[in-house]
Amino acid sequence: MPSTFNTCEREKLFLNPSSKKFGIPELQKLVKPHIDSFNSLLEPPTKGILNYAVIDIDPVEIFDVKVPYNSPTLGNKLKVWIEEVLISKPFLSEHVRATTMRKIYPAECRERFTTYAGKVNIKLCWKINDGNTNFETKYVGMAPIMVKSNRCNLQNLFPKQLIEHHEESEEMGGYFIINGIEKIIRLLLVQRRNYVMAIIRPSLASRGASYTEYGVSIRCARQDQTTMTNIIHYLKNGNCMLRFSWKKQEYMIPVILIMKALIEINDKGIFEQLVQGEFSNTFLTDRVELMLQEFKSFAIQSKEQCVSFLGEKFRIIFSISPSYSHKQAGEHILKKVILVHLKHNQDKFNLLIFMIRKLYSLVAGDCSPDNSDSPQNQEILLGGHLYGMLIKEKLSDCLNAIRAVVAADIANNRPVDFNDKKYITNVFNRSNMEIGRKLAYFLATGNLASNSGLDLMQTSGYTIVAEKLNFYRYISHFRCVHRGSFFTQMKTTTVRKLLPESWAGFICPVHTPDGTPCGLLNHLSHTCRIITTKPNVEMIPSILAEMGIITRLATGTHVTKKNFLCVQLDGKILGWCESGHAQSIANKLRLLKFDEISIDLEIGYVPPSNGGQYPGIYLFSEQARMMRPVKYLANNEIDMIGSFEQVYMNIACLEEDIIKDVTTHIEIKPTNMLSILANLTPFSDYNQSPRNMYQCQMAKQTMGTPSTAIMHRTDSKLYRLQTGQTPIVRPVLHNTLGLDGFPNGTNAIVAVISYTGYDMEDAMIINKSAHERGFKYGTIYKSEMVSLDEFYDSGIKHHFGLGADAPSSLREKLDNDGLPFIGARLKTGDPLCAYIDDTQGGKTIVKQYKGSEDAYVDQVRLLGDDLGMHEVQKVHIMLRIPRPPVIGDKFSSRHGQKGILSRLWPQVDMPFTESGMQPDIIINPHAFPSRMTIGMFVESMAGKCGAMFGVAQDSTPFRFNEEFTAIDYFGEQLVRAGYNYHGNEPMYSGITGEEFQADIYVGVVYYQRLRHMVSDKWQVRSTGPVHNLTMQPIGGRKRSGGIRFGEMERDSLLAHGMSFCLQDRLMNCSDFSQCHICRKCGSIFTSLSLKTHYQLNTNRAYKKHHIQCNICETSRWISLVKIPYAFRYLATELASMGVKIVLKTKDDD
Amino acid sequence: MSKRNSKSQGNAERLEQLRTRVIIEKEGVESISSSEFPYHSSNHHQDIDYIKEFIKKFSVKIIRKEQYDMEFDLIGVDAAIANALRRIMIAEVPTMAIEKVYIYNNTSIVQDEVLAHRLGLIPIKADPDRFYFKQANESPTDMNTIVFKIEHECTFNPKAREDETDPQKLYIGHNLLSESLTWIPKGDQEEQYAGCPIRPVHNDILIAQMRPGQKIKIEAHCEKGIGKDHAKWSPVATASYRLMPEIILKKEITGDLADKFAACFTKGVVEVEDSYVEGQFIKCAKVVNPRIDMVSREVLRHKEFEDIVQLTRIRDHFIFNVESTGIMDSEKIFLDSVHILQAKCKRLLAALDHKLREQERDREQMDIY
Repeated sequence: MPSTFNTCEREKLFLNPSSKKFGIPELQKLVKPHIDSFNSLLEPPTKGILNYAVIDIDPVEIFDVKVPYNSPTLGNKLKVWIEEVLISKPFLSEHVRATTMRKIYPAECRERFTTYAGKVNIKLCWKINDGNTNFETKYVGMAPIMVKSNRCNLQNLFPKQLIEHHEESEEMGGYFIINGIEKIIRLLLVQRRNYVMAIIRPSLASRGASYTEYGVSIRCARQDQTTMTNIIHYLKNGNCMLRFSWKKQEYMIPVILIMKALIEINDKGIFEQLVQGEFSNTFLTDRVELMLQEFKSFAIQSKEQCVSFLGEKFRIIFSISPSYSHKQAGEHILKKVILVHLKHNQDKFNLLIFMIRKLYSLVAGDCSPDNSDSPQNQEILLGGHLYGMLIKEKLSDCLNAIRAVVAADIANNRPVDFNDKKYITNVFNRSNMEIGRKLAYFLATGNLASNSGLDLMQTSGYTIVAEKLNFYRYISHFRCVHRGSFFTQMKTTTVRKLLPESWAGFICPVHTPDGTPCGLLNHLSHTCRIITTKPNVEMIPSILAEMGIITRLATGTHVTKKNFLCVQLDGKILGWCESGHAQSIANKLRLLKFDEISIDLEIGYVPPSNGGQYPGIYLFSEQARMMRPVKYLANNEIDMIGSFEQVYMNIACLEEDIIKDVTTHIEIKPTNMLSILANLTPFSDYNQSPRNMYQCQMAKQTMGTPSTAIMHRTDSKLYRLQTGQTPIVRPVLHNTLGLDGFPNGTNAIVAVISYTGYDMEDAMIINKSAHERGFKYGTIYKSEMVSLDEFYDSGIKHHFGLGADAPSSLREKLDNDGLPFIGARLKTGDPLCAYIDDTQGGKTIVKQYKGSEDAYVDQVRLLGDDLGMHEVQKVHIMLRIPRPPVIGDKFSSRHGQKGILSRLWPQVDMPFTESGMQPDIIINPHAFPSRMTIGMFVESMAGKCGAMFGVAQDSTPFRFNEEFTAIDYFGEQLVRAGYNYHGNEPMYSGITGEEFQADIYVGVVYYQRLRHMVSDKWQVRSTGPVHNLTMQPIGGRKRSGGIRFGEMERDSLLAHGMSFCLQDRLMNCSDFSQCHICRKCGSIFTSLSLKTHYQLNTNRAYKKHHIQCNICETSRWISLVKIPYAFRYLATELASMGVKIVLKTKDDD
Repeated sequence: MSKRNSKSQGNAERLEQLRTRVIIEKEGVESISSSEFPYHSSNHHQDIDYIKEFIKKFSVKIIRKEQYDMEFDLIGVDAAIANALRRIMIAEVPTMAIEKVYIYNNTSIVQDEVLAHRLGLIPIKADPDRFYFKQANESPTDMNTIVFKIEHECTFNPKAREDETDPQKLYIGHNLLSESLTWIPKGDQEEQYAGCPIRPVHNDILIAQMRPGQKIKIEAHCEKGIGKDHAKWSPVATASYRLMPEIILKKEITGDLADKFAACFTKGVVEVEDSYVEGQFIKCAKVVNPRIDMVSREVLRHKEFEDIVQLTRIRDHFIFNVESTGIMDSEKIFLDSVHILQAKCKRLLAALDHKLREQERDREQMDIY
């Protein structure tokens, strides 16, 4: 029987990495949305999103004279625009002469703490008046490049070459490297594009006096993936106003004005289009009539009038060139903000009609609002697309910068001559066109510095660090989707709710953290795909026409037929069909998906209902949609379904769920709904659900194997488990994703027994001998950066090395170059490195190791400057801190059962089984009844027989059922191995030597060591630093502060009547102070020392009376009292505001 | 205690069983503790000489004896004694193990401290009796320290084919094994151990995997120690015991049930024989070797055997299994443990005597006053 652990196969992959294919191709698919979205920025066949963006950026027209608005003389016109953006792969700067290897690879950037970026060049074109077009290729900075994208030097490399370039053998990419740190642009859930959403939201009513909470909203996406949201408000009188925002400002326009500006149409036409034959629907007709009537107040009718009106009103805020007429300006505005996903005005008009009808239907209660929290109405904002949007905006800023330079010249009366080529070049050079730094800033901080807001709801939190704490956490970063930081502030919990339509396959119902981000930070299911390329859908209109949809509704009074459903493709109205035919059209289209049209087409058929979602056939083909594979029963092929259409589909989970003529699809596997991590919890279907959530959390905090290229990592902190093992009990996905390359724990012999008392309250006991043999031994790598180049500009003044003045004791740890020996053991205060400071006359200056634990020097990296010209000024030292498990460290099984190590128990005292086996870990049986993690029991049994027979046990959830139970399956195996069917074993006490009265549940459970360790957390203080304002002890572990003894703690002491302890803790050990008080006036501020005023005879009298109250002018009432210093501070603060505190005193005795 | 048992058995028989047997029930184990000691309420008789009784009952039977693995029965002792021996074998029989590692060069990927730890766990074939414990303030001598060294380097194999991928052929010395630990005799160790040179027990323990250019140069010092301090000094892989199982059949089990019955036990415990009953051969279950049963209680899970079978274990019959790591013979480990226990008892007796004398002195002094 071959090994079910695939050990040899894995070793082969490891020893002889392929140069042609990946060993674990599935792993590459996980980050695909990130890479593909970045690739689509510049990649054919779609021509590259960036080039669409460039076309969409308006040319800037600059005039060489200062012109008042609407002046007839404009002077010479300089028109500047961008024609092309080119981003190159990361190469060395041409100034570097040291090497002929010009390519920069990510590993170098990580190790040198630089940014992995490629040159951005734009083709800048300009034209003077109507002369010839000139162009110039302009360098605009270094844009950070996503690793393994089509602009990365690692693209198309396979394990062998990747290892040669110091990467992980199965490196997936998908992140940026900014100053050596790996950054990911988070996936964000946003409103589904090109779909008209009916919304009822109180905030809509706050827009003005007659505004109501009803509205329809559409997020229109341009070809370059930038979006513009249009909202139509319903006003109390029945009128409709369209809202859009421009540069973070909101504007309202009457819809009729826009409709009339779009096409030449009279009121009758608009009325007929809106009513569509429903003349008996007086709710609708009344409102349409009123809306048309109200527009009369504008006194404009024709298309031209309307467009010019728009242009006149809006040309300032859109900063439209003075050379444009009002009409041109108006048309420009219509193009820029109204339903930008559509090109033709007729289409825009049709969609406006649809929107208004939907709005009225919503108000009348004929249709329900769409839920913006449901994935049905959401899509994903991909990192690459966001990056593209940002580049677009920064490029258009570049053009504005040119305009600003010329404007400044004119304002300062400098000569401006467009015909002088030198001047133009000069202008270009002077304008700030650097976009690379802005992009790097965005990725480094996650802050969106934008003047348009990019139609997004947040300005920060767009990027996260791809922490390599362990591999599970790392891959989860790429699969997480955030709802938006806007919602984190929200008081209501509706956004966080788990909706039935969301967890059906797209977003994992289990994998979300608890606490603040709960329900907002979700993870994609492991089969969920995100569409990154738009399939070709040009043939759909003709296909639909063949199927008999009506492309143009007959108008006029004779049309009485109702119940037409609108057919839309990506927000464009293709036509209408009778509601009776809609289902069959949808069905036919679905069959066509498999060959004629793309599989990625989403066919959302919303059937007519009584007050449900507004009906229609909505086809979606664009990017950023979530889709997932299921099997189509009609042809037994894999169909991709989207989150919109899924709501109206009948998908069976298992074969037996199929209902004839109803069910159309079946799930490929029931576990497809789970994220990667949730899938890895063994037998999670046996656990109480919150425990699986906890496990997802804890898997990400486990000390495991962060990387197989630790030699080339420079993370500030890395956790590593030395003795990682492959779990005996693991799901199929474990192999599919090759997770054996990154073990996350060890198989431990676990006895569930209440043995010593040290296992109470979730504590666990570890066998001391197991510990001594290396059980759960871990290591932490910490990095220290030493940089000398603070005064770099004035020449190098510091040199690493030991000067003549260095004491010989330094040479024990440091070499002549001032750097520590590899393998040297550093204690607190030991020298970490030394340098010679020329500014102090060649003195040797030592930098100390400040950590509290002993560390070994693991690596020393010399970091040169970018050009490779200067003496080394930067050194990166990697320290290794051994962390064997100690009492107080945290461990957990894979079932949300965490515990603290409470004791290393001698092996001889541990209980032993019939065969002499002694458990590695003892946990208390009380951990189970309330938590109901039966999965852990099953794992224990499965692990035990897996270990006995040497097989890997499949722990995929939902494998067993009521007829075929896990207990039988594993119980039979145990019996075969000679064990008890239930997993119990007779055990003998290691202390008395007698057999226990009960058999003990012993098995093999995969245990994780969590990163929370006492060594990082212990805090102790007797006396120490105090806060200098209040004189109270300061807080914080790093500053050796105390732990707050707070109100509740105080209350408990009070309740116990422990007054002495209370006095001691809160007064004597805190801010005890003494001060003089005047008992007569009750003030603590008026007592003054008056040494010189009195002629005193005896020393004794002096001592007694040398302090006097300044107000009462006597020392009779002065006494010394003990008060907390904070009280004195309070009194001072109050006094400064003119509030006096009078203390009443009483004689003590 | 279940009523069923008391009904079916005579009282005396039942009492005898409680006195000498551990009774295994479906849920739980009964009568686990012994009452076989003086001054226990039920069995104390002035006129019994317990020592004689003990000598009469006590025996050691060696069942299987290999050099490094042995099984023997210890009969007629209390669990406390058996357990004491087990504990001493695991934790208190001294051996030699690497305790200090001086690393001169280590460019392998195994970190220094991990390498040292791995070396410590390698069993060293050396007779611990011929060494002293090294005290903390003592300097190493040939009487308390054994020195090993490793000088190892991995290189490319010049004879390897160009496209070779098997590291075994591609490199020389890419596996650092325990055989590379070379003993450096100090003092008169060379002559003393001429007959049995000191070496690691196993030559093929993998210490580190290496690649060309990596070097390891270390000196390792072995010291004498006990398993209590660190598991590396434990001479046994495991030393443990179990109680002798006993399977009592109250009724004959015949037919297909016999096969099922046999399957409930470890293979070889119950055999199915054909016996001639009433003119025909029928299958009949017979307990042949209860000793090897793992007492999984599988038989109690089946309803059909509920009243037919009783599982017990003999409370003072310990089946010991001592598996040596290879440093010492199993037999010696056990004998050493007995000696250590003896020494401990002597120490305790001496301490008791001392205490008694002290008390006596105190009393005398009291009398004087």
